[in-house]
Amino acid sequence: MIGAQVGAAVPWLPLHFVPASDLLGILPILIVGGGAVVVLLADLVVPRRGGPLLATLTGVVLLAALGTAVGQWAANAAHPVVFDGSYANDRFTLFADFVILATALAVVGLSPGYLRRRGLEEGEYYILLLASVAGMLVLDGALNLIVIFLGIELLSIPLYVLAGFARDDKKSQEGAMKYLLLGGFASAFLLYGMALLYGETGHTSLTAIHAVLLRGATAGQFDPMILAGIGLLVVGLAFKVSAAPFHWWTPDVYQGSPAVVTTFMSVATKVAAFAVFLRLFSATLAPYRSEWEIPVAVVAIISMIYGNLVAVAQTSVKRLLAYSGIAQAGYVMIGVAVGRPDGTQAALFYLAAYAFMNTGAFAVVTLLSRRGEDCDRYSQLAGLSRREPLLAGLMALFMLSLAGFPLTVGFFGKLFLFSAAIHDGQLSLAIWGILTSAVSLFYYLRVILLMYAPGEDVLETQEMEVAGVSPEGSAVAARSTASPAVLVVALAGFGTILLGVFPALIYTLLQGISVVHG
Amino acid sequence: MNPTLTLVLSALALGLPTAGFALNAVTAGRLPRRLVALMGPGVVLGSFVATLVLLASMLMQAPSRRGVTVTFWNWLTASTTAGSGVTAHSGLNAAFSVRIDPLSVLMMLVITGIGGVIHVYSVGYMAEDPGFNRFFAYMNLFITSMLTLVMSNTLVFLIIGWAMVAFASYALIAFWYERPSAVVAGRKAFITQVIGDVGLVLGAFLIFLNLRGPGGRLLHTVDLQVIFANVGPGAHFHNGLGPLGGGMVTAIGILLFLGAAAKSAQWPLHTWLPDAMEGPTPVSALIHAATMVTAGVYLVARFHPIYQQAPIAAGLVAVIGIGTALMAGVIGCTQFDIKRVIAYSTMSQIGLMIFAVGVGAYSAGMFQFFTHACFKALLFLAAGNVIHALHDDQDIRSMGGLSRRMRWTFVSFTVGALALAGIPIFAGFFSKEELLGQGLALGPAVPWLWVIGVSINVLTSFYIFRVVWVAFFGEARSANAEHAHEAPPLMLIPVVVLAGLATVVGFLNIDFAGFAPVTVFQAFLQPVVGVPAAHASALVDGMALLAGVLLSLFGVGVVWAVYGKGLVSREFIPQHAPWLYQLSFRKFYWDEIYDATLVRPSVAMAVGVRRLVEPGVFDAAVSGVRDAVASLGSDLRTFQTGFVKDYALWFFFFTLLGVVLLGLRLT
Amino acid sequence: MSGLFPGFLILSAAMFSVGAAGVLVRRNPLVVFMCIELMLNSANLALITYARYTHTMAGQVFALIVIAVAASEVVVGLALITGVYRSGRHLDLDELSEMSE
Repeated sequence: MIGAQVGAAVPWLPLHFVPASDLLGILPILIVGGGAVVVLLADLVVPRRGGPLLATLTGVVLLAALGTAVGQWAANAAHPVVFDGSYANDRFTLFADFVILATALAVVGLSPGYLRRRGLEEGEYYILLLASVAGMLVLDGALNLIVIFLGIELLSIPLYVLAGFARDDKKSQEGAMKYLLLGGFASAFLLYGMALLYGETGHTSLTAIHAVLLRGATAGQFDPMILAGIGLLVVGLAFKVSAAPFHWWTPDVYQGSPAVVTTFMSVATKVAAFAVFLRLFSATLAPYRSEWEIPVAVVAIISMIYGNLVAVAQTSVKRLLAYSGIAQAGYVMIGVAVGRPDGTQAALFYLAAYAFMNTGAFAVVTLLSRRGEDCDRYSQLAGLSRREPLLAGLMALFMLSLAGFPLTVGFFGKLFLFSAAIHDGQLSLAIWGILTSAVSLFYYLRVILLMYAPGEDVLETQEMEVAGVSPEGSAVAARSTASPAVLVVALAGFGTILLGVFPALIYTLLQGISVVHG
Repeated sequence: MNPTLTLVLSALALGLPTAGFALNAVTAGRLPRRLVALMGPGVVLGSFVATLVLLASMLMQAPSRRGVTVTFWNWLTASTTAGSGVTAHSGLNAAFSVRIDPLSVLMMLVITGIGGVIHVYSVGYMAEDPGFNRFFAYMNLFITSMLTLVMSNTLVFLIIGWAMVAFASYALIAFWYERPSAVVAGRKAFITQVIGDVGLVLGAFLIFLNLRGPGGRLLHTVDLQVIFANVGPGAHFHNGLGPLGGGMVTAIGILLFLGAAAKSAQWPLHTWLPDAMEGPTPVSALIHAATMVTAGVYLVARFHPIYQQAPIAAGLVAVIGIGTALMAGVIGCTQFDIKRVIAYSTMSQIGLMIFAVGVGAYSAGMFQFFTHACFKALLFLAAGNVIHALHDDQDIRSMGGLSRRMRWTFVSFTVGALALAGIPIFAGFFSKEELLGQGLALGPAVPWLWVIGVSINVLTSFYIFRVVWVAFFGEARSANAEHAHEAPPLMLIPVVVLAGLATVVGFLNIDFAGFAPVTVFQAFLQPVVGVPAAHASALVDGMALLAGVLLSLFGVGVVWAVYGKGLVSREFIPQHAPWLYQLSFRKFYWDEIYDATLVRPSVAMAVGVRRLVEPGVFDAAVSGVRDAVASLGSDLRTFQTGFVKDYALWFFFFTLLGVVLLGLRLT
Repeated sequence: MSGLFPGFLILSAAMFSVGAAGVLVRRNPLVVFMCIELMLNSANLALITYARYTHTMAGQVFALIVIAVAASEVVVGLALITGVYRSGRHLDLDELSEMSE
């Protein structure tokens, strides 16, 4: 093990100097983690209400990390596995890094204006955000059960706080509490699963576990304790990616959290958790594929059905997107169930697509927020096309993309996943995917109809007057003060269309990617 | 050809009209008219210039190196299975690549050149129209679509262009949407196009599914060059059950021709074209004379490697072409609407082109397309001047005596008529001479096809000179005709330019009565379609030529005798062969036949379905599904109680369920 | 030692079940939180047992890291619970159910 070897090599020095190549391998994490410390210190010296300054600093940190990741991609290191086989800085990891860092950047762009409107300008926000990002970066390259657990907790714990960041908002408090308790509960299951896996194989390294499983599987022996461990892993990770039936926290937490946090949570967490999901199941646990294939497929199907059905009955955009997020998790699970490089690539493509369209949709919700609260009820969306034609148009685009319309990136996301499933012979997954996509039209188009339906403006105006806000108050004010936020929405919209027309831009990046595990 | 230069030029040629359309569409009519008047024709003429440069750079190359494929972007190169080692069933590979070769450049020249002239003319013709900007948006869109169609190197974008053309033509025919007849005509055209689209798509799909490459491997390709390279002798189409080469390729040929027939208004999908004259006259000139209707000819010429393997399909093409040509010629003789006469003449001429490409005289067919585009656009635009002067009256019976009041228009129209009738030195003479000569040489098995082709000359010169005589000579028969004035320069210059073209372009194909082995035009197209396989002897060729010219002159003579001198009564045919007159005047009753056999039953069925089936079955099914989904959603959401305890319980329950199922599986 | 091995595992499973049951039935978030800690520690026990059984160190390292992680989770958790308490609400999970369908 790591500790033992190090101690043996340098008996007189308890702390072995880490080789530079190892540090280089986790450079993005170091930058983000170090950046968190820098922002922490900066928060002490900048004056109160220094939100934009800290946001800029955070943005710079994230940009630096993104730049490093891009550089590492371009350099294409020959030995991407570092820290004695516990972290892989391969292209798979770097691709997930791109998506996570870009999403975080978008969230940072949305934050200053939003936090000011909701009166939440605290420097801790950015520190926690960076800490969570660091956790995600740890997670998406983890090659060791210990590192996986560490990553999951490092990304979750700051998120618990962020979910409850609107301290005076009861919903935010409630959401944070639910997230904390259910998250801890799920972590315990996950951890127990890891313990079983470790106990039966004697290793925490994914590479070593793979070797043991392969030996057993080729001999036709499937250890029931390992199966139980895998089952608990599925449960714990399904919780993190909010796949049904382990998604229970999702709608409440999404609704309660400040909209920027929800944006971050819904996209980045999912990407990181799916990264480890894909790595575990398409590589480490591949020998046991015959055993876990059906359970994973069932989770995928349940997620698609449940998420899409319940979304139909929603009246809040945040909750709608929560259920749609459950459904989308189901679609990505198709990629996990297919395994193999094409399933993995399709899943990664979908996650990138999801980052664009979901960040965009949530960003619109963010922009609609006004003093003290988020405006996410359907009645508050009515007639948006006349008040904010640009935002309404972009929102419509994101809805169409989430529904999988051609010429949007969502279309190709679904296309690749479904065709991967078909090529793998898992026709039922594709059929369920297509059927539930049809159902999803009900609620996505409903949002568009609401925004473009005539004659509901009056209601909105009255409601606003009751609330003591001038009808022009919200988004127009938001736009004048939050141009980076508008830029984020516009970029998300641009990406949604660009990748809908040129999916090859991303897909070619993914071509060579398969999962390295040691 | 320099790939980069070709890429830039073809991108310019395609991009300029697209940009013009996009700008007009995005601004939704808010651009100043003056700007649109410059921009609309400007982008098309710019595209024309780009095409000319392409042509020049192509001509500098050896003939064998004149075909270049340029890829703009890879729409979907990534097969979904790449990396897993499974490539046999790779996903769809569709690049947006264009083919720049003599055939496509010829089409582009006509589309952007004649199209540009028509755009200029439209600035004058539509000057008073409130939908000026919208008009140019549609026109530019049409040019873009048509260019996409002829430039595409893949089945996918060929089909996309094909469908976009149908849409643009629908929008332009129904441009005056306040006129119910225009809307109906647009709809009719569109529905007919869709029928053709189905054929084209099915044919393309069959190619995609069944084409095998060397070694019998299924290619699953949409790349036209790959397809043509593998459709030679010895190549096989398979239908999955076994080698059914001939049957499959015949089916593909017929399906593709269904698409071609719809675009080119060939029987049985021809009835939309006369009605399409409801659109503004420049539209008729652009779409229904010069470009769109010749897409069918292009399609058959482009897919000639397939038709060469499918003699039955090719024969069908030829027979339908010549049949349509004859029928339309007969109908044209009795119509009174000046535009409809020209429309039937278009149908008839295109029938001849289709005949030519059907018998394998590709170069002759394309040359007829080329000259026809010039003189038919000329006829339409000149007719447009007349209509404009008469305040939208299109009935030749209320014209008369216009030769004095609209001298330039008269001269131009007459040049167009001479070209159409195939009178020597005018463009149509050369193209028809070659077409019929080639047809005679290549289709010897059915000489009567040729006989029909030549005799159509009589009809052609009769109906067009009938219009010349009735509209331009004699006394004015209406107040409008008395006060008609020559068109403004903006509308006259394009007409005169086209008249010049219609006079000279024919010389491109002069073969010096068989002395030159191939003509300039044949040599140009040779890299794509090859040279004609057979030559008629100089004697036969000369006889055919003489017969054609004499028959055309005979037609003019009949007009002179009937309308000029009154030697023969106008009522001669109606009195002595009323059935023939009625058949012609009623357009062979095709509209009535379709109405009785297709339209009415469909409508009746639709009404019945709406009354009986829809409320009980479809409505119930749709609302049933909707209600089921909604109620299922509401039921399921009750799980979401908001209590942490319940959430933890469900989480635990499903985990336990998984463990139990696992246990059951293991025991 | 090897004779005791199943015993420790059974104990660990029992602790996990007790913890899970606590989460399911208790209404006080503090107690629920403690139950979650119990579950994590049952996993720790399993890890250490396995480390002993398989003669590897990884389990012990894992357990140490879990302890550290759990400690930080406790910090955050207690802060959140205190926040709820200070906003004048009962420490009753059933009352934290404003958001639901």
